[in-house]
Amino acid sequence: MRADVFRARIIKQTIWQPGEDIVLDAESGCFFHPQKKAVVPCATCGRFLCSLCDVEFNSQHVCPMCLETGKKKRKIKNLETHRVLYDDIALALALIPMIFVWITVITAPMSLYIAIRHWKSPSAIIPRTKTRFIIAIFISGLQIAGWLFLFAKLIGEIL
Amino acid sequence: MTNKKEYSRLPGRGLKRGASSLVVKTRARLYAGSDHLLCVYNTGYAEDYKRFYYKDIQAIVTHKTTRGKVWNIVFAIFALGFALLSLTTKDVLTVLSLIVAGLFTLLFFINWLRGPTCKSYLYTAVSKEELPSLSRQKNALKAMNRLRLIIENIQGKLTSEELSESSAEISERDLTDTKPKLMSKVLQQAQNYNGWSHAILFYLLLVAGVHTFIEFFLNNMIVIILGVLAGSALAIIGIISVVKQHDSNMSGGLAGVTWATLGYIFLSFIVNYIIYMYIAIKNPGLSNNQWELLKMYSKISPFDNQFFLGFSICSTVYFFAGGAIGLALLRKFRVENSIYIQKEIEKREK
Repeated sequence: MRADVFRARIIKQTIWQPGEDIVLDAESGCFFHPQKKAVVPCATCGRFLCSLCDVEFNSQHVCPMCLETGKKKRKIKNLETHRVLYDDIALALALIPMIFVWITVITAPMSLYIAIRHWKSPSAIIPRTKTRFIIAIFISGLQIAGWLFLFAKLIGEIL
Repeated sequence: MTNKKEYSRLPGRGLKRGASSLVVKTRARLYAGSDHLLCVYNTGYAEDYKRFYYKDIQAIVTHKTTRGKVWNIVFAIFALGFALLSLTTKDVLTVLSLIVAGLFTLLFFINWLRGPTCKSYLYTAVSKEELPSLSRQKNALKAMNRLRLIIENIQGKLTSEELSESSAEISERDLTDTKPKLMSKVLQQAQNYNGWSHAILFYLLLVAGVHTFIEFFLNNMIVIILGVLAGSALAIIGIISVVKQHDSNMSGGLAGVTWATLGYIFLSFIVNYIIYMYIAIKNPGLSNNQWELLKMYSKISPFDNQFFLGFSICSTVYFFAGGAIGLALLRKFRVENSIYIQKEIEKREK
């Protein structure tokens, strides 16, 4: 067994204080708590914040609303906890149904659509190339071409 | 994509274990960022992320587990079993048996080369997170060495004097505020289940081993009926054990043996069913008379058919070995569990 212990283990946690009340009229108040003294402006929207509203994140001081907006609109990458991997989905749809052959008539167009539609969508947080999309487009393209050729031949034989 | 590499990958990859992993395998990986550690859980179609800022990491702990050794034993038993089976069969079956034996041998060597298994945990002020990617000791130690440098760079080095000065404070804080809910959940898990169904399962396995051995010399209806009853009981108790172990703090090795046993039981059912259907097809006149079919089935001796002989030998070996290994691991689990419960109760009483 091995245990690596660090300084954070012995440092007492900071107990957060509620914001200080405004004493003098000249003092600026917090946007969200007008009676509390403003200590720092929000780095995103510029609103004045008291010590209660101040959120230190990514070495910046932001307000809770900007933090929420940043998370919803995916502007703050460090807040993202989930991403859909469209390139993996497109590649899986192109490759796996090949085992069952006939189902590729449905999955090949699906794979091509996903690859084109989500070409510019954010992929994994750890940067990756478009290789999966390219392979998916190539394979599904071949499958669609194969099916079109087959249908054309069938129609030709019928006619 | 940025030119500067934002994250550098840490050694190791593993599977996140849990209920959802029965359906979808979640692969876990660790990446070191500039100010945080990123845990990436990949389900194949999506990724989930957990970040631990270096300034918040209090400790990283790793300890050895027996999971790797148990899987090695299971692979070796199956490899040997199928190799023995290949000696008793002809043509296509021999080739198939050798291929399967070869596959299990390959799995054995891969598992052995990857090194001993371990479990690693990351501690912060408010959580204890398992790091599934650090499941092999070699990778865990490499990753811990890298992380230690990074974290000490940010937090500063912890001297032994500082650690010993605050050790009394730390243990007091652990009891009062660190994670009383989490501790009680683990304690509850430990107290909830003492392995009674696993004990029944492994004793039944030994009984099944004796039964399979007797089948070499005695073939009649009573033996077959006892076999059916034993097999059904094994299947039921196997399922109960798998469900019970999911909510307990049972080690990976014991859980692995239980899963392997359940898998082998179902394989035995399938093989016996195929033999039964073969008899029914060979005797179409008797296909409507289940009792007569059963009587014909009961007269079959393992020595009549090479495949049946090989499978009977494999089953006997597995039932005895599985039962013995399972009981040994279960005894170890019970001893560790009772010590843990005792310690936790003493801590709480203080």
